[in-house]
Amino acid sequence: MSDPREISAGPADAGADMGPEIGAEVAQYVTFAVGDRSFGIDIMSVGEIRQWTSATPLPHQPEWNRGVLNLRGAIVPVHDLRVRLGGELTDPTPNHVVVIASIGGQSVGILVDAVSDILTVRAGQIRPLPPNVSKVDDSTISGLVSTGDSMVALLDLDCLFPNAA
Amino acid sequence: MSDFEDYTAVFFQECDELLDDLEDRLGTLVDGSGDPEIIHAAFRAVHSIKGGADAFGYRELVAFAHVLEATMDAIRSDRLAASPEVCDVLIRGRDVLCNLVERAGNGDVAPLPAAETMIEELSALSGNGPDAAKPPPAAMSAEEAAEPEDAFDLTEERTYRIHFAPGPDFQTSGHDPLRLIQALRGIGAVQVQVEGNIPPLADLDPDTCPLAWEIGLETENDPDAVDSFFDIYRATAEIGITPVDADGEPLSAPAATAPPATNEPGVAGPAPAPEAKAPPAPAPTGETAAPAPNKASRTLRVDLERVDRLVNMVGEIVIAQAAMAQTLADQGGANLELGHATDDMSRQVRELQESVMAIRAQPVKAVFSRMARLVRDLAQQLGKEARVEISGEHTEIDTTVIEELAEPLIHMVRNAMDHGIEAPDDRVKAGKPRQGTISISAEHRGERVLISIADDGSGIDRDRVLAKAVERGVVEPGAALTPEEIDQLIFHPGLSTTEAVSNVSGRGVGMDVVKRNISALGGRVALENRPREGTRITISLPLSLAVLDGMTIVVGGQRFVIPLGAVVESLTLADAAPRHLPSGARVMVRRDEYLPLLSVRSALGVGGSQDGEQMVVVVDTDGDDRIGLLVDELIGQRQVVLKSLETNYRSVPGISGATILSDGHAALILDVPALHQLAKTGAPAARMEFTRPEAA
Repeated sequence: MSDPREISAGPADAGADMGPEIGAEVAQYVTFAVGDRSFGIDIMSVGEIRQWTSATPLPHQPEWNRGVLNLRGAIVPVHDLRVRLGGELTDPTPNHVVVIASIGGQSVGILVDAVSDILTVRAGQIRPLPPNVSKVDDSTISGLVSTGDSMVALLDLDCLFPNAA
Repeated sequence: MSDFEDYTAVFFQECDELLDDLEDRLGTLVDGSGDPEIIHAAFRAVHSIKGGADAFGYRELVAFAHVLEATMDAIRSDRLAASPEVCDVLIRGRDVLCNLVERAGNGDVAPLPAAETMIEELSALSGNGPDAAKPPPAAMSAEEAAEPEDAFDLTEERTYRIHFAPGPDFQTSGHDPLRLIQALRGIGAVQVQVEGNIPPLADLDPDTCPLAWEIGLETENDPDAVDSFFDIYRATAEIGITPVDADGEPLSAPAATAPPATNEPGVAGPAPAPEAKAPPAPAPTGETAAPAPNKASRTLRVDLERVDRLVNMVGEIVIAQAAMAQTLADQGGANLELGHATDDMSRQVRELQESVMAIRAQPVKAVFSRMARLVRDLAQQLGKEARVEISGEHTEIDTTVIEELAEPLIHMVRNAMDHGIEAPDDRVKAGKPRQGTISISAEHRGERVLISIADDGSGIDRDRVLAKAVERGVVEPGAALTPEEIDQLIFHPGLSTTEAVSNVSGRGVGMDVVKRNISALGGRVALENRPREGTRITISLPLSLAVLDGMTIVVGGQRFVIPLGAVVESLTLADAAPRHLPSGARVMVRRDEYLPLLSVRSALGVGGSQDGEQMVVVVDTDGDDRIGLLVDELIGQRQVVLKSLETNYRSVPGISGATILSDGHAALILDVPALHQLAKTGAPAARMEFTRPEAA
């Protein structure tokens, strides 16, 4: 876990600035690391964060599906974000983390290396993605937020793991 | 207004029940048992719908129900015979009524042409002009005027008109008009209306009960009993009881509420407020006039989702409990008392599970009664004569199973009607009664339920089936098949013996679908064919879909569950003596039969070496054959709770769902027929490239 990376547009402290009247324009993102890259997803879609436990593999699935988990009685698929973004299979250890997110009413586990932080962002701070920079479909990234020393890519989960029933 | 909406919802729910009941009754009426109670019950159902519809102002519904009721009344009073033709009109009338209720529920006010036609047809039967169908101008009172005509021809039931005007101290002496009216319903109140005008709500003091009611009562009780019912109320309310009969009551005097028997003539509710035209207090009207179930049944409507959540949670508790017991046993069971406590708990948990499952259980009657209807329709369509004998319709099965059961049953009944039951003349020639019989029965057998459909028709013509199978290339010409094997061919996809494709059982997409659907439910289908005497198909189903008996196996270190219903036997690979075909495929010989061997490992792309495959599980696939599944290891049998993969993901070929094993890990449940199919056609190509090595 790194230092809080809460950022604000003005010089004033972000917390003091965040009156209720602008509350609607402020969103919080859970950020996590895959390799040396940072990603964020809307905190409202995150149900919980769990330590990696071995999943039961499913036959004939895209490579990024690591199988299914027992989440207190619910069967939840786990997807490998690194593979989905064009990388190698993650070799998961107990230090790896599964972020349980809600995508279109379904609970889905996303395997990442580590959860970093919670990022509070104002709408104006989200920059669009420059075209043709990503290996995967650009639509999976809904915007970029720069956090001083690094950059967080905000993921569009619906595009990332559509339910291809 | 939300109260009003609630009442409306209750009205439509009750309509559904009443319509089901009506269908049942009419179905029995067709069978001609001649029991007068049947037509009475049917009449009451329509009458209740009419009463409720009136209260909510569904004019078209009221008008139609009225005509339908009038026709039933004609039967009731022996003016019209319940001939099959008449019953048919009534049944179709019930369908129109059903349609109208649905439209009323959707707020669809456009007139329904079918209703007009049906009204004419019904009126012709009952001998009333179609004018009788005109919606009464002022719903309640004209309704009332028409009422005696229908209701007073009763022989065994007496009809009373009751005037009930609670005094100002009625409630302070511990009575409640609503309770009284509800109690009256229990003994047969059919009509409740407020007398006179309702004062504006602002002027209405509920504590003093300013309203008076007129209640129509149809009951088998004698006048003394009715009289004594009101004894306790007389001190604080005006009660007038007037027995009325077919001739006694002037039909045109709806407000004739001051009959001689009334104690005091001062009748109309206190303070007949001026111009009390405003919305006639929807809540009280809805409350009092909504059709009530005949008996106050001790039931509760619960959203199925809530029950499902409960069932799921109990399923989890069962698993968690099993896991705990296992852990305890693994530790050597040193602590005897802890062991006893766990045993106790395990018993109670199982009982809890049974009780929870019982909540979802429903009698199969819901599906069976639809079959009776289907047979009647088909008989007409096919020019055959048939009746349905239903037994065990009170057998209870899990709701989800019942839902899934309807379609296979429809297929089978269609088949029996189309292929089984002969034309009436042919039946007579064969020395059988003109009318064929289709028997549908259900019974519990251990943890399963047996449902059987039998007909006394021609049975399956084996020569024709075989000829057709050879023609279609399903069977090699000259193959020696046992009679039973020929019978099984009807479950083969794409085999239909009717020369002319009828729109009844279609193009042979019947029995194979039935078998597949039933297997998907973890059930089995057995066929018993007696040529020229009939066919019996027996379905054996698990009582619940939520829990499944499974055999746990291991392939490549991963555990899977095979539904026990599909498992025929298991043996070691050495005993199976596999042979290689020139194509490279492997087969085993079992009772003079070659069974293809299917490697679960390669079908599902599980890692590990084929050398691990040491066991063979012989399973039934759908359709025609058995296959041997090659697995590494058998672990044992256990009950598992079935979980859908589609809840949070999607369906996966070859897998019917997942379950959670006692160690908390998820295991996949094999879909044997799909797995077989997968092996035949190859896995979906687009996804094969994604097959990955063993996950960590």
